Amino acid sequence: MVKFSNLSHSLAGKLIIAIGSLMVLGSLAFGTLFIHFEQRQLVENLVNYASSLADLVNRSIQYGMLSGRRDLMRQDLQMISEGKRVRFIRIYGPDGKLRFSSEAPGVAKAPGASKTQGAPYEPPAIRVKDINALATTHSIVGAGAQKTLLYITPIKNGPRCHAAACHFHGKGNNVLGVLEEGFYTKDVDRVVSDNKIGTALIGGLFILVISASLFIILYRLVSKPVALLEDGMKRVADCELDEPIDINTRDEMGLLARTFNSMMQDLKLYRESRDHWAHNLEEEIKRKTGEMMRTQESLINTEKLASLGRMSAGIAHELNSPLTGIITFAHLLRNRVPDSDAEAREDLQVVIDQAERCAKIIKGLLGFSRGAGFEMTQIGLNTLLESTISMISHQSRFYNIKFDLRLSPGLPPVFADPNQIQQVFLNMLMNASDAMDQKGFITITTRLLPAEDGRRMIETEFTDTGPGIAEADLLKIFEPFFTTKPVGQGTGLGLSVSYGIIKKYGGDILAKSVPGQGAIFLIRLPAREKGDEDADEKHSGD
Amino acid sequence: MQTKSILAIDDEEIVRMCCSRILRTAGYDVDTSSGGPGALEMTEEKKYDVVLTDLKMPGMDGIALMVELKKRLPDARVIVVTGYSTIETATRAMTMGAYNYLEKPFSPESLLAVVRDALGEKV
Repeated sequence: MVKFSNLSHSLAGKLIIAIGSLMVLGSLAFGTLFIHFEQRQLVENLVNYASSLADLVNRSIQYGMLSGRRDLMRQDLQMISEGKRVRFIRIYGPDGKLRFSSEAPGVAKAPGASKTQGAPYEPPAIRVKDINALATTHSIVGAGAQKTLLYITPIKNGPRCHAAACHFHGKGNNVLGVLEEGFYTKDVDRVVSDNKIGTALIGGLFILVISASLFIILYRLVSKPVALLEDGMKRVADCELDEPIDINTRDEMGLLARTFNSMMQDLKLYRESRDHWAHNLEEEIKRKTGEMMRTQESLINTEKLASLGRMSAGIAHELNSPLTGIITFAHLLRNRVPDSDAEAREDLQVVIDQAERCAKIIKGLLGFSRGAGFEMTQIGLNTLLESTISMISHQSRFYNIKFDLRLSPGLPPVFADPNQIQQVFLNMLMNASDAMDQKGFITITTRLLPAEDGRRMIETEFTDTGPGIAEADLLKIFEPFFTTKPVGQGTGLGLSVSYGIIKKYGGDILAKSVPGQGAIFLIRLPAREKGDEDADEKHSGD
Repeated sequence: MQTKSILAIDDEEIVRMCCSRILRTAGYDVDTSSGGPGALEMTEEKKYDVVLTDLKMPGMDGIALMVELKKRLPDARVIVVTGYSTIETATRAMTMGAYNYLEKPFSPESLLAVVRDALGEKV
């Protein structure tokens, strides 16, 4: 809203002050001129009146003179002088001396004379150099109550006069006397004064009304929209972009507001898109970082397994020969011990058993160094699982375990070495059996996962009814040599070898568990698609 | 019956010792050699019925030795002994002419079993 203290600085205020000042100046000039012309008009009217009165006086004198009835003439003049506007009538002779005055001696006052002057007034004689050259004049003399319009006109000689029988005036006398009339000007003054007040009042009112109307119009057309625009700009500066400026006029202000609103809308869209983009970028960075970390982790694991493979192959080779020696000579020694010394034979049997256990660990380690010379082929995972189950079900450790196979029919094949995949499956089943103390249920489920990045994966799920895996252990179970089995029972290599095999085929292996509710292992392998076969054939063709 | 002759080749003495002790105890005539060139020299003087050879040895490896031996002793049966307990290595050796394979570490029973099999004796 416009504050009145700021009015003089505002556009509307400045306009009002400028237009108001111009109107005041104009009104003053107009009023002055109007009063001036009106006054002149009024004085002229009075002069005209004086002229007609002089004419009447002239006729009355002429008649009185010609008829020789001076008393009648004086009576007429006295009567005329009693007119409302007439102050006095004086007549002077050709010598300039006063011959007649409508004023009673001692009552009449000289124009401008003070009231306190008690002496009888005798109007002065008119000093005339050449009475024949006298012209009719008028002037205003005196001030206030004494203000008088003086009208002086010669009384001319006419043919009726110089031809009269009295022969008082000869033909050579052009002017017989001077007539002086005095008129009150208070009527003129009053009208002028009234008009001055009226003009001032009307002018003032006019200026006031115009200024007020101008203020209202400017307030509505300029100040209010400007204030709204200013508010809008402040909101934009404060980043509040939701409320548009509410100006719906069709003038420039409305156009400005609409342009501004559209700019605000654009700004809002830009800001939203920027926020959206920034948010997405953050998500994308998080996702990519996670992906990168997983890839890196997987690379580290693969590299770990590869170096472990190289190392274990070397160790295995070096250890196999000494182990052969230990086993052989323990056997030879045991064979030499007489049957009666059962204790010695048992002791040697311990040596043989432990050496054979070492051999088993080495065999496990060699799982890492495998790789060359494998036969890659199309495998039906369902068939492979069924044959694996039938193979192990005769082993004593699986006697008390019930299998529940939930195999999804019509799965696409995977392309891998069947021995290796079977090794992974065996590992899962052995771990489950060990975890359940060789009794319980193992559920095996296969399913085709929806395509991701154009690749379909087949998931094989192993669920047991064992005690499950502690959360802290879940992170470590795929690390080599990590085992929760009692000393001597586990090498800690089974899962890491499985991990290496599945990763090699572009798959994934995951473990989930709620402690107390069994463990779930998910093995995902890429499905072999139609196009892959063609690609392989091409390769074999090379 | 003539005593069967067996040649055991391994770069490691302990393996050679094991072979000779087990097979001699079982009544066979056993010679040992620590490497390919020595073994080939020995075949110049003596015929062997069975040759046991390690696959990985410095100098000449088991496969190359086996190929040479097959030229000199076409009737001898070669058993490869491998430290790499992988079916693949053994199968490769067998396609090259080996009669059988034996995984290290072996027990006396398994050594005797493959040797007797190679000699055509009843296991």
